[in-house]
Amino acid sequence: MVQEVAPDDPHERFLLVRTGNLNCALPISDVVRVVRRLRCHAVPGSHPRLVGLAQYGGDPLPVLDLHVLVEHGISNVRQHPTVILGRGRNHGHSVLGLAVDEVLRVVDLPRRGAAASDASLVGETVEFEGTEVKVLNTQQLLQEERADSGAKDG
Amino acid sequence: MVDPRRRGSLKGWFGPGLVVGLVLMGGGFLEATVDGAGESWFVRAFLVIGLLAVVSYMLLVHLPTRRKLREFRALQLNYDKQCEVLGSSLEDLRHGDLVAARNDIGGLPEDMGRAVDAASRALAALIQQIQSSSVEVATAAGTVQRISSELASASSQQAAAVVEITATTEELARTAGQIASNASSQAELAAHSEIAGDEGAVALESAVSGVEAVRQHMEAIAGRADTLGSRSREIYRVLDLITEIAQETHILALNAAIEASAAGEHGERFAVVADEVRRLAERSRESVDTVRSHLDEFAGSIRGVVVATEEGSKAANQVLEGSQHTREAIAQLRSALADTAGAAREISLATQEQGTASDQVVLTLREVSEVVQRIADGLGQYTGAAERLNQLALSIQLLTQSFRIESEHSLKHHLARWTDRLRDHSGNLEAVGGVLEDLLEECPYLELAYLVDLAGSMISFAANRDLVGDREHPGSAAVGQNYSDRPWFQALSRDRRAAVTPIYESLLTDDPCFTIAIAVRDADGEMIGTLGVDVNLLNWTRI
Repeated sequence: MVQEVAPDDPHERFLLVRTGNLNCALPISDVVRVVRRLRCHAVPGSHPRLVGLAQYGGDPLPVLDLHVLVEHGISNVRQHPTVILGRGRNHGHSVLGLAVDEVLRVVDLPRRGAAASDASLVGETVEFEGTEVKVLNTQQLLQEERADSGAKDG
Repeated sequence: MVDPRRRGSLKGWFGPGLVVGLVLMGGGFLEATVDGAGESWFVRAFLVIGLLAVVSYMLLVHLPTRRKLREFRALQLNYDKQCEVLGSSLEDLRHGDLVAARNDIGGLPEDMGRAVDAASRALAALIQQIQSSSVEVATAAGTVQRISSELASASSQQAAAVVEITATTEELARTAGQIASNASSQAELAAHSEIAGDEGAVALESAVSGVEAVRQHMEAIAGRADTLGSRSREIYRVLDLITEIAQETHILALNAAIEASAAGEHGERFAVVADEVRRLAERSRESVDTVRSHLDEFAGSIRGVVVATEEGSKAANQVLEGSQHTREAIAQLRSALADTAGAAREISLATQEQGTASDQVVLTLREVSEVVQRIADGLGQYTGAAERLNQLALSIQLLTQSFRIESEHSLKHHLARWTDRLRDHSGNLEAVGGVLEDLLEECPYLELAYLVDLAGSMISFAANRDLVGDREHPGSAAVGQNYSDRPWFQALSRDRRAAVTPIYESLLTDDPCFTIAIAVRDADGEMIGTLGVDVNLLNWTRI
């Protein structure tokens, strides 16, 4: 893989995705797999960011709309959504799906320690190959999901 | 002057006186010649014998003779009276007064009176019949005159019309010749047009064949284009499959990169391979997009070809349909041209025959014109004869009006009754005028009615407005105008009988008329005036 940053700089590997006109970088350590045409079932009365529930590996998987999450906009109807499954680092199993328009490729971006501990979903914005890329803090998203799952288990 | 009858009576006494004288003269002679007394007895005897002879004569001759003479004189007086009555009747007959002629027959012997009455009646009937016949003849003659005049006029018009028809027919014959020439030229033109139509039909058939070939080529191209379209769709499906594979490969490469990243440093090389695979998939997708783009252009071109071939086929079909219509039109045109040529030839022949027939018609029309003209001339003569016959009938009518008979058609008799009314109103001019008006109302064929006195001066008159209208009266028709110089007045004054004038032209209506004048008498039969009427002959005969 061709690295886009200087080799001397500390960097982290991200999965570059596109949702609408926005490019986002997801930490690849939180990505389990990319799946095409994951069949989702809409949940009536749910939050707009929830696309629906899918079945992955025998377990129900909530699928969120990344565009709604990042831009707080209106969810687009996607005929062929590409879903990225997040993975809890400690638990080692998939907990969440993100619906995007397109998965571009795996890239290396400079590591920012402070930004990584930020509690917000959208972190810093970096420029990559002439385009702006929003680095997402998927760990925060996964923690919320785990909190929700723990509350349900408890 | 001595009465002849008295003179005859004295003659009757002359014989006895002579006998007495002779006796007395003989006695005197004997007295003178006898001497003595012895002869005196002779004288006395002579006187006695003479006296006896006188008495005997008186008793035996003179008195019977006188009685016979008286009877004879009575007979003679009766005869004279009857002759006078007969003469009066004959005088009435001579003047045509058959009514007056029958009034005096009481003074005639019965047989003679019957004979006179029968003769008057027969004459009156004859006159009445002549009168009626003359009216009928006048009416018929008038009708014949009118009809023959109309026929003559119509014949003249017909002759003029025949002349015009002749001229028109001659013009028609000339026109027919021109039509024949034109029809012949038209037939030739139609024949040329028919040949041109045949050539056009052949050219059209060739064009139709060419268009049919083009249409078949178009359909073949359309079939090929359909095949290409099918192939393009298959290529699209292959491209979709390749795209699908590329996308799957892309996802697969990403997942491999993810797994390589999870493997840490051990997955670095695997990550490189995965990225190469992802790039290959991306290039495949880009190539597919390029191919799809070219294929889109190709498919667009094919669709254009299909559309063009469809339009071409449609246009070819339209051309073929139009050609079919044109073929039918040309066929109809050829048929029409053939019919036109045939009709033109027939017209040419017919018009030539028409020209010949027209010449014959012209000859016949000229003969007809001459005949019609002769008929018109004959009718003119016929009209003149009818007019003369009418005049003759009117003259007869006038002659019959010179008689007075007991008929409503006898104007003299009719007017005689009106003279009685005039006599009753004599001296009252207004009443006389009313009587004259009544007379005109009862006799609508009268133009004027007037009353003149014995000196010939007009007392009153009335005009028939239905006949005269509003025309101004001539100067002679006026109260006070003297009519003593008129023939009817002079004839009436001379003969004391009704007079009828010859026919003359009325100054009021310009129609033929005549005047009847009749005496108005008082209760003693003395003439006190004259009633005159002007009779309009046309209305008289019409009524």
